Amino acid sequence: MLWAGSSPTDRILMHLAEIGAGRCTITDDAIVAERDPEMSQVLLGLLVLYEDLSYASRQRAEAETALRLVAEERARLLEDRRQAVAARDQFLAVAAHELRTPLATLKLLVDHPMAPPDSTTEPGGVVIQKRQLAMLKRQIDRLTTLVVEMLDVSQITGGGLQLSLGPVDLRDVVREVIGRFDLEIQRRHVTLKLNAPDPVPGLWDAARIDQVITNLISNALKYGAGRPIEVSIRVEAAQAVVVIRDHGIGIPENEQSKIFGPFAPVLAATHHAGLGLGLWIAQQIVQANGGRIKVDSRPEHGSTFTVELPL
Amino acid sequence: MHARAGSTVELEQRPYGPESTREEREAIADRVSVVDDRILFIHELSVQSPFSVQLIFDRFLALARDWDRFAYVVDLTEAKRPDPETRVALKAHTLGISPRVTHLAVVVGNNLIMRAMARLFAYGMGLTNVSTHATRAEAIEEARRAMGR
Amino acid sequence: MSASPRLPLMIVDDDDDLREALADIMTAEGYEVAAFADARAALAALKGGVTPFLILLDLMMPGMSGWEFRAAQLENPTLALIPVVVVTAAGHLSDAARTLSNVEVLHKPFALEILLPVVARYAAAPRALPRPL
Repeated sequence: MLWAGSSPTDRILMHLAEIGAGRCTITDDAIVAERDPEMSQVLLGLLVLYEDLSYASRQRAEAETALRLVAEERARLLEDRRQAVAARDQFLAVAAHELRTPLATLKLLVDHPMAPPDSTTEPGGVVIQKRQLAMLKRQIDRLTTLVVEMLDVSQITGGGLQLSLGPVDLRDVVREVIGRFDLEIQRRHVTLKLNAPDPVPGLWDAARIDQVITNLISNALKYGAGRPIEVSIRVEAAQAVVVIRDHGIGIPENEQSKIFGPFAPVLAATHHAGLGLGLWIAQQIVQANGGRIKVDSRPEHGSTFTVELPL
Repeated sequence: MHARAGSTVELEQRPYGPESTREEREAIADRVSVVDDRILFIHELSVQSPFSVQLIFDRFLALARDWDRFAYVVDLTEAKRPDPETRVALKAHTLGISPRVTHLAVVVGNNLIMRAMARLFAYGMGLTNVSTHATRAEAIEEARRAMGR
Repeated sequence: MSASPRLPLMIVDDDDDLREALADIMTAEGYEVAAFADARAALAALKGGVTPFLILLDLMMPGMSGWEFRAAQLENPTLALIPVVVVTAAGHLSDAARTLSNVEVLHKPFALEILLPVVARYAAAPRALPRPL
């Protein structure tokens, strides 16, 4: 915007006002083309002033952005930490509850063993009903499972899983696990079908794979709502694939990604919920054996857990 | 002027940065030379950058290492106006050495714009021992005079 | 124990074994026991006319929790009179009690020597309960 007819002073005032408003219409070409030598030097000075001011304000804006990003990052980290602490605290609360409950039952039974009717006690002896003895055993099993889970988690998070690999027939392992659940299957009046026509040999840690299958079948029984459970084993593309499918309460969409996480939210509608670590441990074991575990589930329609192990 | 042997690179009219080759860095640093006892000469590049400013001042300080006071001459006749970032770097380095500087003589030829640039530069740093000259010879003369010769 | 008609002891706990063990023991001690695994079912029974002299209430239960049960109980002026002793394995024990008004809290695992006298105390001195029809 050259005011060709304006006085030098007016032109200078105009440019000063421009710069004050954060703009500058002076160009290097215009400076060179300026006839008045005094004016050209002044125009140069004004242009340099404008450039220095813009630069300084850009630097300031960048510094402020950097500070803001740091503050946001810090807030994010604090929130992450808060959530982690909250999750851990909830986990500890659940753990305490889950450990204290079987202990309470044990204590009651030991304090007050009940003799079957018409039994006689020898001096220094105690008679206890079979039913109560079975109850005692169940509590000990529960406590053992919990302690083992916590020790596993300790080991995994501490130094990593120690595997002892050996030749394993996956079908045998699955059959054995199902055998152990026979009593519970009958008690719950559930049908569990195994579809595994052929042996499935591989090189894995048998005890650990057993642990994974046990956890998955236990879950299927717990959350299966009494409906049928199907277990199948097949070989597919150099992998052994075990599928455990229930038709129970399923897993809500927003929790599906979290169920393998440590401290996974303990699902509602559960009895003997355990520590919520079983699936996390299962995933660690499967991954350590070179495999993958995934879930496909719909609330009210059940869940399908698929374990893939390399052959 | 003592030119250092071995700098054969033709410097282009563009800003030089950290990706420059060793030869290019040498060529830039070689723009600094000793004119006389305690008098240095900088033949400013056409297009300057914070990187080139650093190279030149590193060489400058190396040459002036044993001098507690000195004068220097800067030839701006080939120089284009530096961008704000480069100006910040120039200012920082110039202020850094200014306690030891008796005089700065700037060669601006007959270019009024260049003269204005040099003056703006000096005013911006509060330096009073700065003069502008049309030729190198005059500038060097002024530097000698300031060193009491 | 209170005079006849004998009022039952209500036990609400989702843990099957613990509830059964407790029910067995209390029955052996001479109490009539009404045990529920589900707080909702227990509440329905109360509304349906079951009038215990004491409710042993677990807190951490799926579905309706002990806290929710207590809140629902207190909303009903008749039911609100029935005393409750909380029996919990929950971690923050004093916190849990604080959120409940006017209850004693026993912490699992507890000794029978502690539980039995507490139950006996409530059996001996029932609060002003409306007589069952």
